[in-house]
Amino acid sequence: MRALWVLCASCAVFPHTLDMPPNDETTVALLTGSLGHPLDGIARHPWFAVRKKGETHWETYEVGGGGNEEDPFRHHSPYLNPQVEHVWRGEEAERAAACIERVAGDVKDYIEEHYIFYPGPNSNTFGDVVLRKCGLHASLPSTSVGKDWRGWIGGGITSEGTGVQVETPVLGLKVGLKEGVEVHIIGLSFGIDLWPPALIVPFGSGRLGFADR
Amino acid sequence: MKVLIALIAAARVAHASCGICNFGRDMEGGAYLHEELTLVTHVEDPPSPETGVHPPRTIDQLGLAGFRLHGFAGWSETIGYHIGLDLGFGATLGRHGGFAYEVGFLPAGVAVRLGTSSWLTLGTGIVASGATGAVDDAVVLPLDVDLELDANRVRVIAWGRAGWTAGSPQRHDGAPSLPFADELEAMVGLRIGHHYNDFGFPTGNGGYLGVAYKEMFGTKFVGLTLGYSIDMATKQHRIGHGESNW
Repeated sequence: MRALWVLCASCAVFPHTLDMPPNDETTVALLTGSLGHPLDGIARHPWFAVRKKGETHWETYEVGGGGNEEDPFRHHSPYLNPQVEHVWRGEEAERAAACIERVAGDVKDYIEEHYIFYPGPNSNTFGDVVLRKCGLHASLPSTSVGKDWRGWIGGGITSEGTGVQVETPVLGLKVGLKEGVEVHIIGLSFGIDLWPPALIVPFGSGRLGFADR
Repeated sequence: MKVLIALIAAARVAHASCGICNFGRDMEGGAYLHEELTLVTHVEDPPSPETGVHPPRTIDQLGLAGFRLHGFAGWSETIGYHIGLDLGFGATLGRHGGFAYEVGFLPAGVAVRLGTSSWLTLGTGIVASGATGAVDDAVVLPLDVDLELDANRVRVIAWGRAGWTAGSPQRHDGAPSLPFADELEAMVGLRIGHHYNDFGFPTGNGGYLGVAYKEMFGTKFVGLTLGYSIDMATKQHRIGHGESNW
């Protein structure tokens, strides 16, 4: 019973493990953590963690921080409840690491200069832009408010790469094979993900159902 | 939300740093944010007065998603000035399915604190609402009542709104339960969540499930609300202490 409770505590069944992968290959991870109480249920913040083959420390990239860390999977102050969104390994990670090193600085500078906590551009916009610029196919959770910020009006291919989205600050729509159908209403995401099956909601882990892969 | 946290924190800083004016020392206040999705469906249509048959419904189901952000502040430990902003967007289903919206700004109101994290608020202002092809756009004069009762991990969240419409004859006299109003909507929900004291003042959050009710065009709608709520408030520092807890 307790195991079931732990499994379902985040509302996303079978989440990625928070155990760090071995350092026999280069690894890039996209993680998110919740803001402090009482915003922990509705707002998450992303960071990229990059560790080259054989190294023991991780280089992190994010808005409002970044640097060298030992375990950004479990401890990334001041963010709570870390969640692994995607992990790239091997050659894919080598390419990802090179791209993140190349583009993250400029994106971060731009976001920090134009930063608006809500609806964006903010730290989640940074995560989404870096994903798209580097062709890294992954999605931020729906509680990463600001991930879909495209200015007053914008659109294009989703970060996952299998869908399209059209966005304004008031209304937006994302449709895709892996993305499912996601409606964005004043920055809040509602929708259905068909695989893995889940309802997309703007609180908690962002999903009621199986964790995203 | 960050702005509200900053406002409450600023009041605390004002107390700490302004020894002469003490402007913020006795300031009391709070705020609450509800993110919610409401789906209602018609349950009862009124008979047409002339023919005895039901008039054609323009809406079968209505879904709105959005947030309600309200706050209050004052120098009394029990009564404060209340302000609110409600935004909801969604869709209608039925003969004329389409985009629906309800946007409200309630700059005039009063809040009565029933405890540190419990309150009753009354507010009015202006609401604009409509739905393409189904509900005429109209300006509504609302009278809002919000009740939030805190009992540790459980919180009762309830609100009601009576509205008087302007600019749309179609929407007049559409609330059978409130003959003096044109429209009526209400929600009663139960939140299961947590309490914190991380910023030096009480906060709480949690998900809630509620029953929603609406009367419009003489039709009664019932449905469900799924949401997430955050609340925060200053400590009622004079009650039971004799001096500030800040």
